[in-house]
Amino acid sequence: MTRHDRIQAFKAELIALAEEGIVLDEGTLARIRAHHERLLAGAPDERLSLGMRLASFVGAVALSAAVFFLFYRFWGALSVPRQVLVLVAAPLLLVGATHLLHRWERSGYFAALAALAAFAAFVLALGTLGVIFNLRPTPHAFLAYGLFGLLLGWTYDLRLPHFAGLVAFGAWLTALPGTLAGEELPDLFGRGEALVLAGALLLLAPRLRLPASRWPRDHRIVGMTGLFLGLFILSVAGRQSWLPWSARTVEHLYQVAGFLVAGGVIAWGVRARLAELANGGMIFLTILCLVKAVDWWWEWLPRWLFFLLLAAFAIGVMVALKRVRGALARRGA
Amino acid sequence: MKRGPLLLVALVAVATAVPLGQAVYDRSAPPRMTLTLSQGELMADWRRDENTGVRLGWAWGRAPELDSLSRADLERMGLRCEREGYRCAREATRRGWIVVGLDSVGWRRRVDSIRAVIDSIRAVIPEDSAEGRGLRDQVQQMKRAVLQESRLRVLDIGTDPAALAERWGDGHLVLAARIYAFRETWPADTLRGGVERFRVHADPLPADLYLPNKWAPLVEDSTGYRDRVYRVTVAVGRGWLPRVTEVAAAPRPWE
Repeated sequence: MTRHDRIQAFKAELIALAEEGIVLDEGTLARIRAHHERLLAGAPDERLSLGMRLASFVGAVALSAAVFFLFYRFWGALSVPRQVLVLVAAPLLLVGATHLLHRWERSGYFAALAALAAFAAFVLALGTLGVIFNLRPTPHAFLAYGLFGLLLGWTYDLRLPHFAGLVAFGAWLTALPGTLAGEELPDLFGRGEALVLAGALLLLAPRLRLPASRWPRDHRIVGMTGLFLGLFILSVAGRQSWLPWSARTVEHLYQVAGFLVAGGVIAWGVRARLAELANGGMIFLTILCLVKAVDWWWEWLPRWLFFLLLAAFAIGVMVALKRVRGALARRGA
Repeated sequence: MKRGPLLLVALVAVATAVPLGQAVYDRSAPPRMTLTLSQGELMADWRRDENTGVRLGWAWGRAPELDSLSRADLERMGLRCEREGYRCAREATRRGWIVVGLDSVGWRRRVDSIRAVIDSIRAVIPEDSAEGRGLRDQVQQMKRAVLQESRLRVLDIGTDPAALAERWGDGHLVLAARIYAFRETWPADTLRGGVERFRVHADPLPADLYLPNKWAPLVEDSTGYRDRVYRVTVAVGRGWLPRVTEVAAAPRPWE
């Protein structure tokens, strides 16, 4: 919660207290009001700021798509040396544009737009150079994409390219064990254990307090998604596992692991007051329960009873979420 | 980060230098092997205004597989297979190398036979007669055989491209591929006295070849109204990268 949000909540509480007959003396109120006005004088309007963020995100995605389609519209008319020149120059020019926009407008909305377009141009450059020279697809391109996104984020304090870089870096980490074992794309990304490991690494990165762990919340979101996705894949498709046991045994093992890990993540979220972990864990637990409910009961329960059980489960989840929210609020107090 | 912009420029330079360096190395010596194919084996993809680049995709008359392989053959290809199931799933797709070549015998016999029928009909029947329909059917069969039938076959699979190239020589191509194995005989081979036999499927990497724009008009609309017939020469360079080195228009045998 930002200082701006806390001040707004404080004002709302003062009004509620006044309606219940508890009023601060006029002198104290005046001092608080003056102090808050001084604090908020330089702050941008929060609603406008949210609108700018949204417009910047939509603009960045649209500009990235435009970079892709513009190149593909005209590359057939260019000779190979010219194609190479355009592909190498585009990310460099867009990094230059990001640099200038960052200096011109410090809030970063316009710089984020140019930075995401630079990221798209970089992805396009490496992908298309591979196509032009008939290279084998390689997962190591994701390392380059990841580093580029992370560097853009750290250099210009931009969260969006940093997030894209984290996802690409996570994809590379996932592909790495399979690559070393001589496996080929695209199966490298479907290996459950590799996803679990990569997700856990990203999830725990902020706890290691590395200087590179800017925006720890994004690390946790990307890491938790990878971790849960890996556990989910293994709990329904045991053949994707590296473990030497039968597919059925592997699935049962990872179903149990999924419930335990989801519970652990919820507990961690509540204890450390990290809403994204508590909510993410709850969502994963719900999905896991729903999948298992279909697996176990769909064939032999009458439909009405199945859906009644599902409704009961949904109510249970609502009660659990209410408790989690309560616990988070108590920790926050 | 003060040095961030410099690091970004360096990263772009290094990352783009890797594929460019691979291409330069690949072309720094004469091709190791070449093979001339037709539009039946390397088909131009459907071209849209939104993507003006042209790529030629490998087309197979028969699935790109080797069958009736023993467990020892699999191991030679760097593959292993578990006891359970048809697909050796626990071993995911592997990196490997394949040898491709042309099997023209059956195709040539069929084209020559259709050609003989066309010539004999033309010699005795005017095209606008009722019997001329038979001639048109034969011409359609000839078009189908020439334009769409692929003579491309996978001839060998292995882990060492140099050894494969030495074994098969020019007139073939050694291509990188993703390979995976199936059991042909499961579950019968789990019984006493049963013999295990495997099949290995291979997909060449990349799945299509880029065509520089100077040759694009020759292959344009090859499977559409224009019925383009062409010959494509593909070479494998020093770094085992395939590339198109020549495209030439070819005569239409049905005319």
